[in-house]
Amino acid sequence: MQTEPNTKNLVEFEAAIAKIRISFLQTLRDHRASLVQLLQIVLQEGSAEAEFEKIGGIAHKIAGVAGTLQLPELGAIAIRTERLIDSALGEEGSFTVTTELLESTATLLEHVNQACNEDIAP
Amino acid sequence: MKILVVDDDLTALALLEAALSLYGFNNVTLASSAKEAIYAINSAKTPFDCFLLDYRMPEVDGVDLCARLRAFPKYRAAPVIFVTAAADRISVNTAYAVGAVDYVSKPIDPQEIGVRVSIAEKLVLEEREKQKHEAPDGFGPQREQSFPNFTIADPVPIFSVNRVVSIVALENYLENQNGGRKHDAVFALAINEFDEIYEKASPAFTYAVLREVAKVLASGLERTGALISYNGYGEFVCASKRMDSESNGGHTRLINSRLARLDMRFEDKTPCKPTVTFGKPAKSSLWSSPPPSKLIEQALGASDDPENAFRSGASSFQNAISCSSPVLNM
Repeated sequence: MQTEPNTKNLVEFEAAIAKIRISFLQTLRDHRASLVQLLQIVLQEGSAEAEFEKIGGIAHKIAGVAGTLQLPELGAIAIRTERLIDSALGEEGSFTVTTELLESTATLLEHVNQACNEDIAP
Repeated sequence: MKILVVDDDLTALALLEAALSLYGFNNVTLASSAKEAIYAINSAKTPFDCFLLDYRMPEVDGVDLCARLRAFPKYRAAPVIFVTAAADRISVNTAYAVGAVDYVSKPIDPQEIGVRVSIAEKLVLEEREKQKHEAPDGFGPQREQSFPNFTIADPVPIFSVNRVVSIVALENYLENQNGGRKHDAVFALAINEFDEIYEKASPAFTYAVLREVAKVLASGLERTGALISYNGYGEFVCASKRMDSESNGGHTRLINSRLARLDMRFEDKTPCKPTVTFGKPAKSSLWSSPPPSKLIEQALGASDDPENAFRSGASSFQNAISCSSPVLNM
């Protein structure tokens, strides 16, 4: 049973992580576009549950990997947003958009923006 | 070890593959949906040894996929590790209820993945060893003679019983639950006169007794959502939020009445009627939250009768790593 990675594996791992990070930052641009669109619907049309379900799905994907890809703050806000949405959706028939939820989603979008502005391969 | 990883997020899939490769697991197949996973399973020339499943996936989620996997006879005992987004009790409990052996929480921690999969590999090796020695038709003499020997102290792994996990998985579960400020009661229980069973029976029969008791415990404690682990010396450790000293009496009666219905006989045809005794629960509180290993130690030290104190105590993890069975050694 291998409990410690060897040097060769470690070098390969770091190279793989660098590539995955670039690919993730590119995916993040799609998430940014979706988040902007969904937030616009929430703010303009007042509909919320279906949109927040989709936002929750995006937050879930970011939450699962951002921390590992050296984006701890983005990961933390994604986890927080996902939990807030989960908890709001969990209360059957009484979905309400709280200020906390809106603020968290806006902060998530802000962090996604910052990450997208990082210098990455085209 | 051949591993199938299923996650609908391609970044997560790539990270899991990199983490596995870091720890020397290079025979990895990736699937981004349950449908792809089933296709990979059906078209695999050699079966997979281990599965890593994302808990939350669209259409068919990890829990459904796990249930479908368990329907394949060759995957009834294959280790399934869940990857859950949040260490929330509902997802973890559901995962264990459908046969997960362990879980890791997202965000993905490569080291944790490496350790968990290495433990699963140990289970795979143990299962292979067991199958090598098993005769196809139950307790034949050949099977009994060649069943791997184990000492009474060995926390032999119990396979394919839902909610029965390794002590390491139980500690991992408690660790995450305490992190979430939820408090499980941990209690130990012992098979009475297990020494006599161990002395009198073959290793194969002793193992069968442990497995039957584990099954009865899992079904008898199902409503309490208990997670159960075998710890050696005929002693089990359980963790549950819905059990306390008051309810233990009722559970003892229920478990023992179900055990009494089992028709098990030693090789000399005399009946084997195991019964169990529960210890007092150990619990963390709002003011003190001991680490899981300490909580387990407390539970194992909490017997009413000092003469019959739990013997697998001192350090359950120590038992796991000092197990005498060669394939169980970490």
